[in-house]
Amino acid sequence: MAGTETPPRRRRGVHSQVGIAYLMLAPVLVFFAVFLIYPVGNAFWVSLTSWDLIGPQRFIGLRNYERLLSDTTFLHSVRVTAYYTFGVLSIELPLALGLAILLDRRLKARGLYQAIIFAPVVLSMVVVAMLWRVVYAPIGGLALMVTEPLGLGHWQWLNDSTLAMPALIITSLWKNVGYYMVIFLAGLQAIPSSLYEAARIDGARGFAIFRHVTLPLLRPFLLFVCVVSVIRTSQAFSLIYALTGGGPADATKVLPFLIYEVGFGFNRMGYASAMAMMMFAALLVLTLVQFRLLRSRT
Amino acid sequence: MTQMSRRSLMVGLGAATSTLAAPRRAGAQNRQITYWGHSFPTRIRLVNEMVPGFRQATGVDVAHFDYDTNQNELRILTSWAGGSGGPDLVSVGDSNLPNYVYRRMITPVDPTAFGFRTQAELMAAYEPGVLDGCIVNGQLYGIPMDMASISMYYRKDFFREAGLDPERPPRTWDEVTEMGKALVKRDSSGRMTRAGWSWLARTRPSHFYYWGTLLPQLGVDFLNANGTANGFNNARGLAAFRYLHDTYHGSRISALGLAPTINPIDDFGAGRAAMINAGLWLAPALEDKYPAVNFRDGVYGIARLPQFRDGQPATRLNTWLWMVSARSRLPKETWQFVAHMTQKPENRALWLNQARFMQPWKGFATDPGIQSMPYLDTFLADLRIGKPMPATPKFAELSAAVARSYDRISANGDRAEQVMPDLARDVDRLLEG
Repeated sequence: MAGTETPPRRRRGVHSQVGIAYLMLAPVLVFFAVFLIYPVGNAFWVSLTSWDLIGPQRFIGLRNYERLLSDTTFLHSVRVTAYYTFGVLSIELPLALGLAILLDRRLKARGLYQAIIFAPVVLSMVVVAMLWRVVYAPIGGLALMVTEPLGLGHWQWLNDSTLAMPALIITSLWKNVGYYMVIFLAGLQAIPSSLYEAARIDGARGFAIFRHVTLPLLRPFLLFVCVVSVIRTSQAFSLIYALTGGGPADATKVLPFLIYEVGFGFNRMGYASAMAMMMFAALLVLTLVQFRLLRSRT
Repeated sequence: MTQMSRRSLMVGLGAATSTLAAPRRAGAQNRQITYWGHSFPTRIRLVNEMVPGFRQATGVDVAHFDYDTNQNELRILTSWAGGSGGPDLVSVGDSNLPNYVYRRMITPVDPTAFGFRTQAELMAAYEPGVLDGCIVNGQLYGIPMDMASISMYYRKDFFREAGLDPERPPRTWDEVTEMGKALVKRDSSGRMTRAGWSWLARTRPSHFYYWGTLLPQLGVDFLNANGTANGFNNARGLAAFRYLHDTYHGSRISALGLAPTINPIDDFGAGRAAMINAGLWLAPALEDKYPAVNFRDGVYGIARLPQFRDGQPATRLNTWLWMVSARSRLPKETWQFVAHMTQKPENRALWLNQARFMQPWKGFATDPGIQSMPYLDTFLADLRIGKPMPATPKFAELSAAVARSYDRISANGDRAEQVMPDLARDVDRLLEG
């Protein structure tokens, strides 16, 4: 009898535990459903409509997407976003890694250097924008300390369509490089020193050690930093809003800014949602590509 | 025990949820209206001074918030469009009115709140025609907070310094160019530290009443008379765009980036601009912040806006309106607050004497306060040749396109012949779409 009674009781126990698990998961599931799945689904629905936020939504199928493909403002904004994202990434990642490698050594006042480089990360983006507005001021701006001796004192960082984007990139680097440096530093410190010793015993030196020991073991950190950095950079808004307002002449009008302007400034929510969905799709593909390229082979 | 604990947990969660979800009744009976205005210090101070009197008289409180001029309109649009309620009362430029009406965001003026029986009676209390731009389909939607014309401010001290006659300011744009060249100041490296003439393109609407004034002076405007297409893609429009280009890249009497931010009060008061075009409102704000730069001692002067030699006299009306949300739960009380601010003689005097806001009630020009203003004639004369802002529900898109063209000319140095047709195409496209 005991043998026949035990399994159902165990099953009841298992079911009960599964129920508790779902109960515990419920808040997170509700959170994701309300704040992620529903908004994305709703944005997709809105992108198929013509809607000015006031009147009723009018279903227009894929017409918003068709218009996007020939909208010069949108295509320009895509180019600007790509310029900004890859401009930042191409400097930010090597710089953060380089700084992490430097600060991984036994330096005097290493903690102080780390704190100085990390400090801008904790500042609000609007504060950063205000600070750099003063740096880039054509008269009396701090940037003149660098540009004037080089005969470039006439540069108008924020009033020149060619220079405005580099100015944003520099500001973004200053703000964010410390964040990625700390992640790389954590990755470097997680690599066992025995691996370096073994590599040295095998005759490896300098760059060879970096290439064959450090870099492969940093791969998960590189993946994380690449993915996060691409997403964060391509979604930049507040810095641009506060520093350049998308100008001059749309030279810094990245997609999030354009989406905001079209949606809330022009009240064209359907069209703005279509832009947002395109951006979402592009980021998703880009993230998958990065996962594919940087997936750890270990 | 476990079962009991789980039940207790669920009961607790349920109780907490119902507590959070219960409607809050405390504020339901609160008679309060919300007012959002721009961050002009004198306006903020005067409204704050008028609120207690209104509260005492009506028992209705006013929550008054101010936002940066550059952001106020977008905030209002976002809050009203988003359905979150937003402000009951706003004060913004009149260019917003067509869009607000088109989207049914605002409610018509309630004449009874002003003590009149009908709209016609209320309108008869104003100077003839001044409210025409606030009427859509026969209904009045806004009350003027300030009806300014754009005239010229110039620094007499800089005129003297440059050997120019401070009592003979420029009357034409050719003279502006000539005098501007003499007034420009540069540092040892050749960088401009003082502009001869400064275009104050701070906000998108400001393009229309600063450099955009050049178009009506040449008999054209951003939109045609019907508002159905651009009105400037012709030789006269090109002349206006060319003059703008010339100030930055030809005569070089104007420059971008003289300060980290564009602020007419600071640019003129701190001496970064020798001549600017602005409304009557600038004078008190300027003297509040820069007491040494004052009209009385002849540090600056005010003159008619320069014109084209072969054009037709015109300036732009820079009218700011009070408008009430269509979703306001207290529309009558909100209009009563506007009436309180504009009808009480002592409040009218405050607007005029402290903010220099012109509220065109019938006979306002004969008011002793206005008569005592040394530069009254200048502004009244320019008021008579004032042209309204382009009226279109798509003003936000229009102003974005105009701002982009201005950037292309001023920052990129693109020629007028390139920029103007592009803008015309953009304007036509957005009016069609």
